[in-house]
Amino acid sequence: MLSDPPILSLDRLTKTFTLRPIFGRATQVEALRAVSLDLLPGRALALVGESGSGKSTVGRMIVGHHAPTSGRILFEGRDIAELTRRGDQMRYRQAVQMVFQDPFSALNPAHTIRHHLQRALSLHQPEADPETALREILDDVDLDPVSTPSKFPHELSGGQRQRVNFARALAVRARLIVADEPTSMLDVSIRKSILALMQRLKTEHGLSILYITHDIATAEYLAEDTAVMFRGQVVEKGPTAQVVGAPQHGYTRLLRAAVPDPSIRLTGSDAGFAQDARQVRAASAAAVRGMTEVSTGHFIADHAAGDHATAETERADA
Amino acid sequence: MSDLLTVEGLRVDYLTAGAPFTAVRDISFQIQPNEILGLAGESGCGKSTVAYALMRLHKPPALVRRGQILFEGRDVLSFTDTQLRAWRWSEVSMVFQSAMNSLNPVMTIFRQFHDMLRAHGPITRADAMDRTAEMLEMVGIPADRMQAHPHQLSGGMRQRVALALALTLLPKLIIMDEPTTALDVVVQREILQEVLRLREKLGFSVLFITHDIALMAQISDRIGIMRAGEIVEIGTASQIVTAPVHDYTRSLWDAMPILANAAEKGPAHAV
Repeated sequence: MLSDPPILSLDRLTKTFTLRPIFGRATQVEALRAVSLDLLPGRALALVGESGSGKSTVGRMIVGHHAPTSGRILFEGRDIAELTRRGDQMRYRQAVQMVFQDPFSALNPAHTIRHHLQRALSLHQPEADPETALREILDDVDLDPVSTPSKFPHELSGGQRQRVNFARALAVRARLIVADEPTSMLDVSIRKSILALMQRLKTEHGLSILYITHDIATAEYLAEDTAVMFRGQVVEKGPTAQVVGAPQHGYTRLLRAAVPDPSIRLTGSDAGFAQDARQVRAASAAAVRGMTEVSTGHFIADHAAGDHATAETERADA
Repeated sequence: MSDLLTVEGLRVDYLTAGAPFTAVRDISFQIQPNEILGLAGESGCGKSTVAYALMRLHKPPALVRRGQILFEGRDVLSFTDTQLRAWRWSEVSMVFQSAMNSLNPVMTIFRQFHDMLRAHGPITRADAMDRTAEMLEMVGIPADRMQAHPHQLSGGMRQRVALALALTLLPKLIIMDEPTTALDVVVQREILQEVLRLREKLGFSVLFITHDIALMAQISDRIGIMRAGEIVEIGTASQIVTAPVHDYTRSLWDAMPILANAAEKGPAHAV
């Protein structure tokens, strides 16, 4: 598996947004700072981080909503900025599909599910019998192929709508799905079933998935590889078993420790956590000078000014 | 010990064009002084409706059909508007689901504190400033930020401000409706530990509402599980975690993706 070339590579991707308020000076926000990642075919890469860490910006740049300030996005080895022929661009946009966080606004309320899926099917699978293809695709995402097509989005639950969004990606024969928090607006009791659906699309259809989430527990469930982002930089990446199971970077450890664990009672006297959190955040925000490989394929960031190391020592003492 | 809050057979209906929709079905529970009671359930199960009805913040078409809400033995449902206004914030306060958006965007943090303090008794500007500074520092925000507007603070800081506002008049009960849902886990943990620390110091009770039962199990003393307007199971936090009785509680646990090795590899600081 590891010898396969990546389906998608981000090469020192940087994005700077310029905010121009009505009054006052324009300010620059560095949303991404030199992000490099590889996504291997048929696997899921989880991109984990807090809100504002830049993880959604990565997703939006891959599907072309934003252009990079610098750096490259390589799809099967080709820089997508160099896809100048219309045919190539179309093929890329077909191969890479996005599933959004909000399943309620991603579908057109005035059209049936049949309309949503058949448009995609007729454009991308014109040779197939439309009704059979529709049924197959609904079957693939565990929706009832008989009753679902004639329904409108408001007649479906959030989880079912999210399944329609995945069906739409299947209808255009996507090879890479960028799923931006696909479960965070769903009820807890159906989150796992959507994760299971993604798992199955990956193993049965060989889809690659970039799974953007703030929930490290779901990353462990779905993704073979995990990258952790903080303030626009990747601070740790590698196989999920290592990154989530035995995190090495201070920020990943903090994130890991903060995941609610019903077997641990919190008390008010634990002031150490907040103090740690402040130190780790300050240290992790410093520019990344390079990545150190701590075990095979498992990298952690070296931060400038060396304050990361100090924070780690203090943490150990605490 | 006598109950701080007693809810007896509470029923809340939403009036619709057709038959009324019963969001809360004859539920009963108690909250003791200095206790954290968690109320968990999926969206639409009626947990937020309970919170709003307790503070009598429910608005038509919601209607309390039957039942009783007793706060220290006083019947909340029979309070007059004047009594209600005095009771809210000073004895019961609420941190809303999107507390970070419940602050007034065009007022400085200080003015929001000042408004609330003035509504509950005469206070000089200087005293109000001192009190605001004290409350902000208590939740870990530098006092000089009181002159900031809400948009100049991060989401986590706004949530802390909302918490500070809710605590200012030293209420006996704070209702928290999904107080940390919009925040990331690290900030969530920091804020909840702050709540626990302040509870030890000030001794208030909390009704904590969330859909995240793992989180709830970490901080609640007792937990009630709601489904379709009913409390299907209520028990101590450890019973709900280790020996849930109702099938629905078990299905909620099964549905949670929980870190595989979370139990053995406990974080260094959480004890």
